Order: sequence, then C-alpha cells, then structure tokens
Amino acid sequence: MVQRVESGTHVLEIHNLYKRYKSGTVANRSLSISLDESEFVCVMGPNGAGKSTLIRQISALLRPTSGTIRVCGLDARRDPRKVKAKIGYQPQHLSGLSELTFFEALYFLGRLRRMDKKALTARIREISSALQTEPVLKKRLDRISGGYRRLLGVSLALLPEPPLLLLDEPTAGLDPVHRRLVWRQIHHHQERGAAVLVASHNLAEVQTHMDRYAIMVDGEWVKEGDFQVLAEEAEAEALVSIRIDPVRGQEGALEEALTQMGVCGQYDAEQRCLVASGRSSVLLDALQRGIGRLARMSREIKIERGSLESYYLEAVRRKGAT
Amino acid sequence: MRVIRLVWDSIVLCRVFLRSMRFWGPFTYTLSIAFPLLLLFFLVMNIGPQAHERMPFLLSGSLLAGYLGISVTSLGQYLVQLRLSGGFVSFRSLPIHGGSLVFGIVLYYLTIQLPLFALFLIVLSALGFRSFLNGFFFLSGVTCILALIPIGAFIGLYARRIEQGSVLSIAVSFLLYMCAPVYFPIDQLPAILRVVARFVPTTYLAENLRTSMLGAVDPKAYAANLAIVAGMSALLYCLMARRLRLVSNE
Repeated sequence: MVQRVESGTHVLEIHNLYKRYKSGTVANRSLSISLDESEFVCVMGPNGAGKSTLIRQISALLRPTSGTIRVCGLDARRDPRKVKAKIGYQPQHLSGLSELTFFEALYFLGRLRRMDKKALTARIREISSALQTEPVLKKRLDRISGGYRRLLGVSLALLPEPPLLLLDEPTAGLDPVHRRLVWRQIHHHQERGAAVLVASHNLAEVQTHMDRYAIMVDGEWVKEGDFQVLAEEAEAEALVSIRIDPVRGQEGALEEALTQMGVCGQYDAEQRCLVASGRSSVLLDALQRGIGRLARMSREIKIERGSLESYYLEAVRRKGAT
Repeated sequence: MRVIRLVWDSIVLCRVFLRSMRFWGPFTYTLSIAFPLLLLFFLVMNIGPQAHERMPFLLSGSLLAGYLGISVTSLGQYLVQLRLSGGFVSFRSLPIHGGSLVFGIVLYYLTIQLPLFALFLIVLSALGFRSFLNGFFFLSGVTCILALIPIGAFIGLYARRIEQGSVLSIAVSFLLYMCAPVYFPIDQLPAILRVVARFVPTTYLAENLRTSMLGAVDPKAYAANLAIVAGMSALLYCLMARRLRLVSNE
C-alpha cells in the first residue's frame, strides 16, 4: 500500500531552488514546483539541462546551494534520511554491485529500507512478475543486459511503495513490451496515490501519462503547466513540418527555391530529404504560393502535423535564441 | 535508537559486501594468505640456521604482510572499482544511517581477515609458540586491521581512475611493508629508513604485534604505540567518512 500524506501537505514542494557546483557550473536556477498525490509531472529538456541534478537534489543525494525542497512536509536539507524513506529513486545509470544477483540486489537494498523479510520477498516476486524479470532473478548483474539493469532500477524505485517516485529515463533502452509494462506499473502506482516525477526525452511515450510538464533549458523552466493546456497550445500554434524528396539533380535548385519563398530548409542526416518546420500560418502559406514550382523539382512532398515534440523543440529553440 | 540503526545498517551492508566476494574473495585470499606464507617459507629457507632466532620477526612480519594485502591492496582496489562504477549511489539513495557505510566496510574487512588470523594461530601453535595466548595479541591483531583499513579506503575513495587506485594500493602497501621494521629490528634498517619508519604506522603495529606474540608486552610502550597509531588512523577515518557522506556537497 502506498504511504499516504497528511492532508494539506504537498508530496513534493520545491521553492526557488538554485544549484551551483563547486566547479562554478550553475545547474539549476530559481526552480519552483509542487506535486500532490496521484500527480504525474514530466521534466523535459535537452541533455545537460539540469534534470538529473534536480532529481539528485530531491532525492537528498546532493545538497542544494539555496532554496527549499520538501517531501511530504520534510525538509530535504534537514532530514535527508527521512526524505529518502519517502522516495523511490531510479537513477539514470545503475551500476556497481555486479557480483550480486538481480534478486539479491533487490533483497539487500530492500532490507536496508527495513522491509520485513517475508513481505520483501513477496514484493520482489510481485514486481518481477509485473515487469517480467523472473528469468533473470537468479542471474548476476554483470551477466544481464542493459535493459534488465534498467528494470532493476525501476524495480528498486517501486519496491517500497513510496509516496514519491523519482524516475530518470525509466524506459531508455527497453524493448516495447517492457516499456509498456514499466508504464503500466508506474501508472498503477500513481493510481494508488503516489506522485510521480519523471525526467524523459521520450515525449511520445510520456504524453499519454503526464498531468503536468516542465521544460528545462540551462537549469531553468522555460515552460511549465498542465499538459492539457500545453496540448491545446500546440494545437493552436499549429506547428507543421514539410519533407521534400527532390528529383535527382534538382537538390540545389530546390533549396534555393525554398529560400526565395522565405522558408529555411535543411537536408536530413542521409542528405536525401529537405526538411523545414515552422508555424502552419507561415509555412503553408509560402508552400501554397510556390507549390507549382516546387512540384516540378520534387518527387514527393509530405506535410506533417505538429507534434508535442515539435512544440518542445520550438520552446528549446526559442530559449536558445534569446 | 540511532546506534541500533547504525549497527543494523552496517551489518546489512557488510552482508552485501560479503556477497560481492565471488570475485574479490579468491583474489583477496590468494594475495593475503598465500603470499605471506610463501614469503615466510622463503625467508626461513634463506636465513638458514638463524631463522629460529628471527622467527618472532618473520611470523609477525608475515601476519602484518597478510593484513596489508587485504586491508590496503584489496580494499583499495575494491573500493575504487565500486565507487567509479557508481555502486555507492544505490546505497546513498536509501534511508540508512550516515555512518553505516564506514562501519559496514570496517565490519566487512574485519570479517574477511578472520581466516588469515585463524591460520596464523594454527601456524604459531604448530611451531610451538604458546606465549601468543594473551589479550594483547588479539588486541594487536584487531588494531592492525582497524589501522590499515582507512589507508586502503583512502586510496579507493580518492583515486581518480580504477588503474590509479590499483597501482597506488599495491605501491602504498609495498612502502608500508618495506619502510618499517616489519621483518627486521629497526637498528638493522638503513639510517634514512629509520627516520622514515617513525612516520609509518606499520612500525608501531609491528612492534605491538611482535611483543604481544612473545608475551613480553611493556604496557606503557604498548599504549604509546597504540596512541600514535590511533592518531594517524583518526585523520584517515575522518577523510574516509567525508568521502562516504550520504549527501554530497559537490
């Protein structure tokens, strides 16, 4: 059973969090956010944005430079041990302990959480069954795949049924079956009252689960709020992308024609298709004006409706431009 | 309550470390038991008829060499590997007592040195020694382990790369062994080493181990040696605890 939180208390409350490493790098600045029971927030952002630093501070592994973090009303700076007892943490990379078996790792780390032997063994069996990790329970960690090691991290976070789950890229490197199982378990935990904070790049995957989102660039929120509002904004801003497959020998001319139409296109990684993205009001209007000319130089023109990902990319790009 | 938690967490951590001995176990024992016993045999063969007179030095020196092999070389290599592979993150994210990582490691290394200690008790008995059956000898054994653990831990916790930790743990173990009167009386060492030996903890550990093994302990000298070693170790334990803090201040 997920531990309940006193009424009127947020599961997680961060106020004006600032983290500067001793090297001088500022990883987080002026971050504030709160989470209640059964809420799911996804922290998105490019590599090096400061997401993992944020998660390490919430899980009381790293001391903030200033600001407050409260988990179930407990101050992470004053009571790090009590705060850790309230959190199920899945690190981005779980290594070490390679001599232990999958079961032993879960068992010993569960014992360090003071879980009762019988209840712990039963819980390990339950999680293993739910995440289909039974085939590797008796295998040593240095002899299992990276995907199973990731599942060990998720299992460790789920083991004590904490009020707050902190997950750093929980499904990275997993096959589709295990990805679905992991999300199902997280969702199940959320339904039982746990608050969930996930750092992820996989927007297509998390968008079906999250209630709220926060986009982090250079250590600060560039956008945060309800996911529903974000989805509506993405719809309203109507971002589109076009992919044009040029007729052989017309690659340069096509690029030039697009530029003359005021659209900036770039060839994709394989140098086969010319890709451009932007607001539909601008892009489709330009396309409409020059479609006849473009059609003569193209084998195929595809217009893709803007996804949450294109909206996220746009937000990151805008922050980069400022 | 805090003490109970510390003891509990340290015991569970010790069990985790003991389960990790599938690889490190054979390695540790080959290094720390086979090597000093072979060295003892080699020295006895080479010294010839005088070996009997030097036997207390040879035996205590070999026992200390075994302790060095486990507490410095093996621990240094184990911890650097565990730390740099991210093994400590799993423990740090748990609600354990702040000192339990230090105590867990100490308990682990005390436990795995029991076979070495037991083996030397058998060797001493087989050679006809009876004088070692006294409290000081057992205290000296425990002191040696407790004083050498933070040296190995310091290397393992502060080395920047696995290779660096491996090389340093062997080199430091060798220096602690060669720059102290472990196998020979201090007056047989070269003049420069006699000065260096005063700053090496194994000098005091070897002296206490030897006198207690012979049952010829001068309590004042024994206590003075113990105090010097305790002072040196306290500093290293502080550095060890600093590195094993559960909340990083980086």
